[in-house]
Amino acid sequence: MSVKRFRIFMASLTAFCIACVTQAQETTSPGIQQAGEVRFDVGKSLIEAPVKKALLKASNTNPQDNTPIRNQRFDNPPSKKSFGTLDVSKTFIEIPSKKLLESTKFTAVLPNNFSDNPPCQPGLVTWHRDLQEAKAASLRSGKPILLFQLLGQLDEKFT
Amino acid sequence: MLFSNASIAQFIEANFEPLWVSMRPVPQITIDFGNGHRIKRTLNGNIATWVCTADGTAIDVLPGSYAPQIWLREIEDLKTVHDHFVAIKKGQREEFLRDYHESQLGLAASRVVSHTATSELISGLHQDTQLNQTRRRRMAHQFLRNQPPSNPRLFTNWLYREVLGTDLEDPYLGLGETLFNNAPFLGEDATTH
Repeated sequence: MSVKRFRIFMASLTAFCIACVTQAQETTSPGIQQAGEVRFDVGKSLIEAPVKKALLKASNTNPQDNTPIRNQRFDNPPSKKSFGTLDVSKTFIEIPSKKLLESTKFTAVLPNNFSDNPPCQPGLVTWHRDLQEAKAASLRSGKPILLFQLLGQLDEKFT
Repeated sequence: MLFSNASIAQFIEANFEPLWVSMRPVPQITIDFGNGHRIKRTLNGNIATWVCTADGTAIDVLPGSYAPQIWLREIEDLKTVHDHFVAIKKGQREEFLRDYHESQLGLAASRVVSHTATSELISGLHQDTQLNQTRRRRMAHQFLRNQPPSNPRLFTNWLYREVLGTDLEDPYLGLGETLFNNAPFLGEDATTH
Protein backbone atom coordinates (compact mmCIF):
# COMPACT_ATOMS: atom_id res chain seq x y z
CA MET A 1 0.00 0.00 0.00
CA SER A 2 1.35 3.39 -0.92
CA VAL A 3 1.80 6.23 1.57
CA LYS A 4 -0.86 8.29 -0.20
CA ARG A 5 -3.48 5.53 0.06
CA PHE A 6 -2.60 4.95 3.71
CA ARG A 7 -3.15 8.64 4.51
CA ILE A 8 -6.51 8.62 2.74
CA PHE A 9 -7.54 5.53 4.70
CA MET A 10 -6.54 7.07 8.04
CA ALA A 11 -8.38 10.30 7.24
CA SER A 12 -11.55 8.36 6.40
CA LEU A 13 -11.30 6.37 9.60
CA THR A 14 -10.89 9.52 11.69
CA ALA A 15 -13.90 11.14 10.02
CA PHE A 16 -15.98 8.05 10.63
CA CYS A 17 -15.09 8.02 14.33
CA ILE A 18 -15.94 11.70 14.74
CA ALA A 19 -19.30 11.13 13.06
CA CYS A 20 -20.06 8.24 15.36
CA VAL A 21 -19.28 10.18 18.53
CA THR A 22 -21.36 13.12 17.36
CA GLN A 23 -24.37 10.96 16.60
CA ALA A 24 -24.15 9.16 19.91
CA GLN A 25 -24.07 12.43 21.83
CA GLU A 26 -27.09 13.70 19.92
CA THR A 27 -29.15 10.63 20.74
CA THR A 28 -28.31 10.51 24.44
CA SER A 29 -31.55 10.83 26.46
CA PRO A 30 -32.05 13.20 29.42
CA GLY A 31 -32.83 10.14 31.61
CA ILE A 32 -29.44 8.69 30.93
CA GLN A 33 -27.72 11.99 31.60
CA GLN A 34 -29.41 12.16 35.01
CA ALA A 35 -27.68 8.99 35.99
CA GLY A 36 -24.37 10.80 36.01
CA GLU A 37 -21.31 10.23 33.85
CA VAL A 38 -22.04 7.83 31.04
CA ARG A 39 -19.23 6.26 29.07
CA PHE A 40 -19.91 5.17 25.54
CA ASP A 41 -18.46 2.39 23.57
CA VAL A 42 -18.80 4.12 20.23
CA GLY A 43 -19.53 1.13 18.05
CA LYS A 44 -22.00 -0.25 20.59
CA SER A 45 -23.75 3.09 20.85
CA LEU A 46 -24.49 3.08 17.16
CA ILE A 47 -26.72 0.13 17.73
CA GLU A 48 -27.93 0.81 21.26
CA ALA A 49 -28.78 4.47 21.06
CA PRO A 50 -31.60 4.22 18.50
CA VAL A 51 -33.00 1.22 20.38
CA LYS A 52 -32.92 3.09 23.66
CA LYS A 53 -34.60 6.03 22.02
CA ALA A 54 -37.40 3.82 20.74
CA LEU A 55 -37.82 2.07 24.04
CA LEU A 56 -37.81 5.31 25.98
CA LYS A 57 -40.62 6.54 23.82
CA ALA A 58 -42.54 3.33 24.47
CA SER A 59 -41.99 3.41 28.23
CA ASN A 60 -43.22 6.99 28.50
CA THR A 61 -46.70 6.09 27.27
CA ASN A 62 -49.52 6.87 29.63
CA PRO A 63 -50.80 3.68 31.32
CA GLN A 64 -54.32 5.12 31.32
CA ASP A 65 -54.56 5.06 27.55
CA ASN A 66 -55.89 2.13 25.59
CA THR A 67 -52.78 0.07 25.82
CA PRO A 68 -53.64 -3.63 26.23
CA ILE A 69 -50.91 -4.08 28.79
CA ARG A 70 -52.45 -4.24 32.22
CA ASN A 71 -50.00 -4.88 34.96
CA GLN A 72 -50.23 -3.45 38.43
CA ARG A 73 -46.50 -2.89 38.68
CA PHE A 74 -46.44 -0.69 35.60
CA ASP A 75 -49.67 1.11 36.28
CA ASN A 76 -47.78 2.65 39.18
CA PRO A 77 -44.29 3.20 37.77
CA PRO A 78 -41.45 3.88 40.18
CA SER A 79 -40.69 7.54 40.85
CA LYS A 80 -37.74 9.23 39.19
CA LYS A 81 -36.06 9.37 42.57
CA SER A 82 -36.01 5.60 42.86
CA PHE A 83 -34.17 5.40 39.56
CA GLY A 84 -31.07 6.62 41.36
CA THR A 85 -30.56 3.16 42.84
CA LEU A 86 -31.17 1.31 39.59
CA ASP A 87 -28.93 0.45 36.72
CA VAL A 88 -30.56 3.02 34.48
CA SER A 89 -29.54 1.71 31.10
CA LYS A 90 -30.59 -1.78 32.05
CA THR A 91 -33.92 -0.61 33.38
CA PHE A 92 -34.80 1.32 30.26
CA ILE A 93 -34.28 -1.77 28.17
CA GLU A 94 -35.80 -4.33 30.53
CA ILE A 95 -39.01 -2.62 31.63
CA PRO A 96 -40.57 -2.19 28.18
CA SER A 97 -39.50 -5.72 27.31
CA LYS A 98 -41.16 -7.03 30.44
CA LYS A 99 -44.29 -5.07 29.64
CA LEU A 100 -44.39 -6.56 26.20
CA LEU A 101 -43.96 -10.10 27.50
CA GLU A 102 -46.44 -9.66 30.34
CA SER A 103 -49.19 -9.03 27.83
CA THR A 104 -48.49 -12.34 26.09
CA LYS A 105 -48.00 -14.40 29.24
CA PHE A 106 -50.28 -17.45 29.46
CA THR A 107 -52.33 -17.39 32.61
CA ALA A 108 -54.42 -20.49 33.23
CA VAL A 109 -57.24 -19.62 35.62
CA LEU A 110 -58.32 -22.59 37.72
CA PRO A 111 -60.79 -22.38 40.58
CA ASN A 112 -59.47 -23.21 44.04
CA ASN A 113 -61.68 -26.24 44.30
CA PHE A 114 -60.68 -27.57 40.89
CA SER A 115 -61.32 -31.25 40.43
CA ASP A 116 -61.61 -33.41 37.36
CA ASN A 117 -64.42 -35.32 39.03
CA PRO A 118 -67.49 -34.23 37.07
CA PRO A 119 -70.69 -33.43 38.96
CA CYS A 120 -73.71 -35.72 38.64
CA GLN A 121 -77.16 -36.20 40.09
CA PRO A 122 -77.04 -37.95 43.49
CA GLY A 123 -79.41 -40.66 42.34
CA LEU A 124 -83.16 -40.27 42.08
CA VAL A 125 -83.61 -39.33 45.72
CA THR A 126 -84.41 -35.76 46.77
CA TRP A 127 -81.94 -35.10 49.56
CA HIS A 128 -82.04 -32.57 52.35
CA ARG A 129 -79.19 -30.09 52.33
CA ASP A 130 -78.13 -30.35 55.97
CA LEU A 131 -78.94 -32.07 59.25
CA GLN A 132 -81.01 -29.19 60.62
CA GLU A 133 -83.25 -29.24 57.59
CA ALA A 134 -83.61 -33.03 57.83
CA LYS A 135 -84.45 -32.82 61.54
CA ALA A 136 -87.11 -30.18 60.93
CA ALA A 137 -88.61 -32.27 58.13
CA SER A 138 -88.51 -35.38 60.31
CA LEU A 139 -90.30 -33.56 63.11
CA ARG A 140 -93.04 -32.51 60.70
CA SER A 141 -93.47 -35.81 58.86
CA GLY A 142 -92.71 -38.27 61.68
CA LYS A 143 -90.40 -40.16 59.34
CA PRO A 144 -86.93 -41.18 60.55
CA ILE A 145 -83.85 -39.53 59.15
CA LEU A 146 -81.83 -41.65 56.74
CA LEU A 147 -78.28 -40.40 57.17
CA PHE A 148 -76.02 -41.65 54.39
CA GLN A 149 -72.34 -41.06 55.19
CA LEU A 150 -69.72 -41.51 52.52
CA LEU A 151 -66.17 -40.66 51.54
CA GLY A 152 -66.21 -38.30 48.59
CA GLN A 153 -69.25 -36.50 47.27
CA LEU A 154 -72.47 -38.20 46.29
CA ASP A 155 -73.07 -35.58 43.61
CA GLU A 156 -69.78 -36.34 41.83
CA LYS A 157 -69.25 -39.09 39.31
CA PHE A 158 -66.40 -40.87 41.10
CA THR A 159 -67.23 -41.46 44.73
CA MET B 1 -75.58 -46.86 42.22
CA LEU B 2 -78.01 -47.65 45.02
CA PHE B 3 -79.93 -44.40 44.82
CA SER B 4 -80.36 -44.55 41.05
CA ASN B 5 -82.65 -47.51 41.51
CA ALA B 6 -86.17 -46.09 41.04
CA SER B 7 -87.92 -48.42 43.47
CA ILE B 8 -85.32 -47.81 46.19
CA ALA B 9 -85.48 -44.02 45.67
CA GLN B 10 -89.25 -44.18 45.88
CA PHE B 11 -89.12 -46.24 49.05
CA ILE B 12 -86.65 -43.86 50.68
CA GLU B 13 -88.68 -40.76 49.91
CA ALA B 14 -91.89 -42.41 51.11
CA ASN B 15 -90.44 -43.56 54.43
CA PHE B 16 -87.47 -41.37 55.36
CA GLU B 17 -86.07 -37.86 55.40
CA PRO B 18 -82.88 -38.53 53.47
CA LEU B 19 -79.60 -36.69 53.99
CA TRP B 20 -76.13 -37.46 52.66
CA VAL B 21 -72.95 -36.23 54.30
CA SER B 22 -69.39 -36.46 53.05
CA MET B 23 -66.98 -37.49 55.79
CA ARG B 24 -63.86 -36.61 53.83
CA PRO B 25 -62.56 -36.62 50.23
CA VAL B 26 -61.91 -39.92 48.53
CA PRO B 27 -58.70 -40.51 46.56
CA GLN B 28 -59.06 -41.23 42.86
CA ILE B 29 -56.70 -43.16 40.63
CA THR B 30 -56.44 -43.18 36.84
CA ILE B 31 -54.60 -45.95 35.03
CA ASP B 32 -53.56 -44.99 31.51
CA PHE B 33 -52.92 -48.12 29.46
CA GLY B 34 -51.13 -46.08 26.82
CA ASN B 35 -53.30 -47.45 24.03
CA GLY B 36 -56.15 -45.00 24.40
CA HIS B 37 -57.81 -46.89 27.23
CA ARG B 38 -57.99 -45.43 30.69
CA ILE B 39 -59.59 -46.62 33.90
CA LYS B 40 -60.55 -44.21 36.62
CA ARG B 41 -61.83 -45.24 40.00
CA THR B 42 -61.79 -44.36 43.66
CA LEU B 43 -59.69 -45.99 46.37
CA ASN B 44 -60.55 -46.72 49.98
CA GLY B 45 -64.09 -45.40 49.68
CA ASN B 46 -66.66 -46.54 52.20
CA ILE B 47 -70.17 -45.76 53.34
CA ALA B 48 -72.45 -46.09 56.33
CA THR B 49 -76.22 -45.70 56.52
CA TRP B 50 -77.69 -44.51 59.79
CA VAL B 51 -81.33 -44.38 60.81
CA CYS B 52 -82.02 -41.58 63.28
CA THR B 53 -84.92 -39.97 65.07
CA ALA B 54 -86.05 -36.38 64.48
CA ASP B 55 -83.78 -35.14 67.27
CA GLY B 56 -80.79 -36.87 65.69
CA THR B 57 -80.56 -39.91 67.99
CA ALA B 58 -78.96 -42.84 66.21
CA ILE B 59 -81.09 -45.97 66.18
CA ASP B 60 -78.79 -48.25 64.22
CA VAL B 61 -76.35 -48.33 61.35
CA LEU B 62 -75.66 -50.41 58.28
CA PRO B 63 -71.88 -50.29 57.87
CA GLY B 64 -70.40 -50.55 54.37
CA SER B 65 -71.80 -51.46 50.97
CA TYR B 66 -74.80 -53.71 50.58
CA ALA B 67 -76.54 -55.43 47.75
CA PRO B 68 -79.58 -53.23 47.05
CA GLN B 69 -82.27 -55.73 47.97
CA ILE B 70 -80.58 -56.65 51.24
CA TRP B 71 -79.99 -52.98 52.05
CA LEU B 72 -83.66 -52.23 51.38
CA ARG B 73 -84.82 -55.07 53.61
CA GLU B 74 -82.55 -54.01 56.47
CA ILE B 75 -83.53 -50.34 56.19
CA GLU B 76 -87.17 -51.32 56.30
CA ASP B 77 -86.49 -53.25 59.53
CA LEU B 78 -84.70 -50.27 61.03
CA LYS B 79 -87.67 -48.06 60.28
CA THR B 80 -89.80 -50.45 62.31
CA VAL B 81 -87.34 -50.21 65.21
CA HIS B 82 -87.47 -46.42 64.94
CA ASP B 83 -91.25 -46.43 65.05
CA HIS B 84 -91.22 -48.52 68.24
CA PHE B 85 -88.55 -46.27 69.75
CA VAL B 86 -90.48 -43.04 69.27
CA ALA B 87 -93.74 -44.67 70.40
CA ILE B 88 -92.51 -45.44 73.91
CA LYS B 89 -91.95 -43.00 76.76
CA LYS B 90 -88.73 -41.02 76.70
CA GLY B 91 -87.60 -42.47 80.02
CA GLN B 92 -87.69 -45.99 78.60
CA ARG B 93 -85.96 -45.28 75.31
CA GLU B 94 -82.38 -45.84 76.46
CA GLU B 95 -83.27 -49.26 77.86
CA PHE B 96 -85.20 -50.10 74.71
CA LEU B 97 -82.23 -49.28 72.53
CA ARG B 98 -79.80 -51.26 74.70
CA ASP B 99 -82.12 -54.28 74.63
CA TYR B 100 -82.49 -53.96 70.89
CA HIS B 101 -78.72 -54.01 70.26
CA GLU B 102 -78.33 -56.86 72.72
CA SER B 103 -80.94 -58.92 70.89
CA GLN B 104 -79.32 -58.21 67.53
CA LEU B 105 -75.97 -59.57 68.67
CA GLY B 106 -77.37 -63.06 68.56
CA LEU B 107 -78.87 -62.52 65.14
CA ALA B 108 -75.82 -61.03 63.48
CA ALA B 109 -74.02 -64.35 63.18
CA SER B 110 -77.01 -65.92 61.47
CA ARG B 111 -77.43 -63.15 58.90
CA VAL B 112 -76.02 -65.19 56.08
CA VAL B 113 -76.96 -63.76 52.73
CA SER B 114 -78.44 -66.23 50.30
CA HIS B 115 -77.34 -66.40 46.67
CA THR B 116 -80.86 -66.53 45.38
CA ALA B 117 -81.36 -62.84 44.81
CA THR B 118 -80.50 -60.63 41.90
CA SER B 119 -77.43 -60.57 39.70
CA GLU B 120 -75.55 -57.98 41.71
CA LEU B 121 -74.96 -60.60 44.39
CA ILE B 122 -72.78 -62.53 41.97
CA SER B 123 -70.11 -59.85 42.15
CA GLY B 124 -67.86 -58.88 45.04
CA LEU B 125 -70.78 -56.97 46.47
CA HIS B 126 -72.07 -60.27 47.80
CA GLN B 127 -68.93 -60.76 49.85
CA ASP B 128 -69.14 -57.20 51.17
CA THR B 129 -72.76 -57.67 52.13
CA GLN B 130 -71.95 -60.90 53.90
CA LEU B 131 -69.13 -59.30 55.85
CA ASN B 132 -71.20 -56.25 56.73
CA GLN B 133 -74.21 -58.25 57.83
CA THR B 134 -72.25 -60.51 60.09
CA ARG B 135 -68.96 -59.29 61.55
CA ARG B 136 -69.33 -55.54 61.06
CA ARG B 137 -72.89 -55.26 62.24
CA ARG B 138 -72.03 -57.35 65.26
CA MET B 139 -69.23 -54.91 66.14
CA ALA B 140 -71.64 -51.99 65.74
CA HIS B 141 -74.26 -53.59 67.96
CA GLN B 142 -71.67 -54.35 70.65
CA PHE B 143 -70.52 -50.76 70.63
CA LEU B 144 -73.94 -49.10 70.49
CA ARG B 145 -75.27 -51.36 73.24
CA ASN B 146 -72.83 -49.75 75.65
CA GLN B 147 -73.42 -46.15 74.57
CA PRO B 148 -76.16 -43.79 75.72
CA PRO B 149 -78.45 -42.72 72.86
CA SER B 150 -76.67 -40.05 70.91
CA ASN B 151 -76.01 -38.39 67.58
CA PRO B 152 -74.18 -40.48 64.94
CA ARG B 153 -71.53 -37.76 64.78
CA LEU B 154 -70.14 -39.02 68.09
CA PHE B 155 -69.87 -42.58 66.79
CA THR B 156 -68.68 -41.92 63.26
CA ASN B 157 -64.92 -41.82 63.85
CA TRP B 158 -65.09 -45.04 65.80
CA LEU B 159 -67.27 -46.73 63.19
CA TYR B 160 -65.00 -45.82 60.30
CA ARG B 161 -61.78 -46.62 62.14
CA GLU B 162 -62.72 -49.81 63.99
CA VAL B 163 -65.44 -51.34 61.85
CA LEU B 164 -64.71 -50.12 58.33
CA GLY B 165 -60.93 -49.88 58.73
CA THR B 166 -60.74 -46.24 57.59
CA ASP B 167 -59.23 -43.56 59.79
CA LEU B 168 -61.07 -40.36 58.90
CA GLU B 169 -58.23 -38.26 60.32
CA ASP B 170 -55.54 -39.88 58.22
CA PRO B 171 -53.98 -37.12 56.08
CA TYR B 172 -52.97 -39.70 53.45
CA LEU B 173 -56.56 -40.95 53.12
CA GLY B 174 -55.52 -44.52 53.86
CA LEU B 175 -52.79 -44.58 51.20
CA GLY B 176 -49.80 -43.90 53.44
CA GLU B 177 -48.68 -47.51 53.66
CA THR B 178 -48.99 -48.02 49.93
CA LEU B 179 -47.19 -44.79 49.13
CA PHE B 180 -44.35 -44.96 51.61
CA ASN B 181 -43.87 -48.47 53.03
CA ASN B 182 -45.15 -50.83 50.43
CA ALA B 183 -44.03 -49.34 47.12
CA PRO B 184 -43.59 -52.18 44.62
CA PHE B 185 -40.08 -51.09 43.56
CA LEU B 186 -38.90 -49.76 46.89
CA GLY B 187 -35.99 -52.24 47.08
CA GLU B 188 -34.85 -51.46 43.55
CA ASP B 189 -35.02 -47.72 44.20
CA ALA B 190 -32.87 -48.13 47.29
CA THR B 191 -30.12 -49.86 45.32
CA THR B 192 -29.96 -47.12 42.70
CA HIS B 193 -29.42 -44.27 45.18
